[in-house]
Amino acid sequence: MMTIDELLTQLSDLSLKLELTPDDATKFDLQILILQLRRQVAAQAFDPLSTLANSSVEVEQLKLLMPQVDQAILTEQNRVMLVARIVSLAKIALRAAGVTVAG
Amino acid sequence: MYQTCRRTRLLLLLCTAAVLTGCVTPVAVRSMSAQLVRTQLAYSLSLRAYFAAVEKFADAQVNIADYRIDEITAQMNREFGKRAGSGLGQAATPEERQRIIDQLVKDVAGNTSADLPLKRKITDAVASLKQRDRELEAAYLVILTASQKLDEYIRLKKADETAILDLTRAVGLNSEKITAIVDEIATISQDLALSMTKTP
Repeated sequence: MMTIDELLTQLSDLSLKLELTPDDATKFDLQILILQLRRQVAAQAFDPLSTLANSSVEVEQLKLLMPQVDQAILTEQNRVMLVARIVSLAKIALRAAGVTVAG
Repeated sequence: MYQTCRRTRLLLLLCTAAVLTGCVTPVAVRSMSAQLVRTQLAYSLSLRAYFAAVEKFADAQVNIADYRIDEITAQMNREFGKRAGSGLGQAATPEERQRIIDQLVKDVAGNTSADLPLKRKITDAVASLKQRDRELEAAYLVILTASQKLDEYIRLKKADETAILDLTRAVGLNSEKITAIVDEIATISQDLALSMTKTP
């Protein structure tokens, strides 16, 4: 299968060979065809960008899991507060019982 | 005096037991988690700069392609003009001349309008590149946010750590030091386990 670039090269070579021949309709058509192909080649340079749409990154699961981590953080913070309160109460109780506790 | 000493030792024992049984996050894990977030943040900034440079380059390429297409179209129109000129020289009747002129107008109009879909295709391709860049940026932002959230959890003072901290304060020890000691103990245990498996 011939690419547009290869076809363009072959047609340009042919056009060079016909340079010295008298002008006629076929020579004109060949010249127009070469120019049309050159225009296509200029536009085709951007074709690889169209394949970008096929790649994607799936982050929906992360979005769903993040609130769960938020909840875990909140739960842990509440646990910390509770433990701190219990320890504080225990210290008060120990001091009341006559035990020396620092902090 | 003897009783105070005994109580202190008891508290120390409790601390060690709590540290060994509790889920204190190792220092290395906390450090790596924080570093990972910093690296990802720096990467997101690099990514943004990279996209901006690529987009500028693409915009410049669009201008060059448009210029090239216009140039080719003008060259084709000149070819149509040359052919019409040659035809007009040979035309014998006014009708024939009019037919050549009409054909020239039609060719030039068709040729010029053939540019538009090509230019639109180029503009669309670059727009799709920019759109993909924005999507990748947004996706990376989600990844970064998720990492930050995990880091927040990893660096969070856990309930068992709070208990340990309070206990260690009572005996004048730093909880970070204890965590580091536990890390060392874990490493030594691992080394021991490995050396035991190697021993025939």
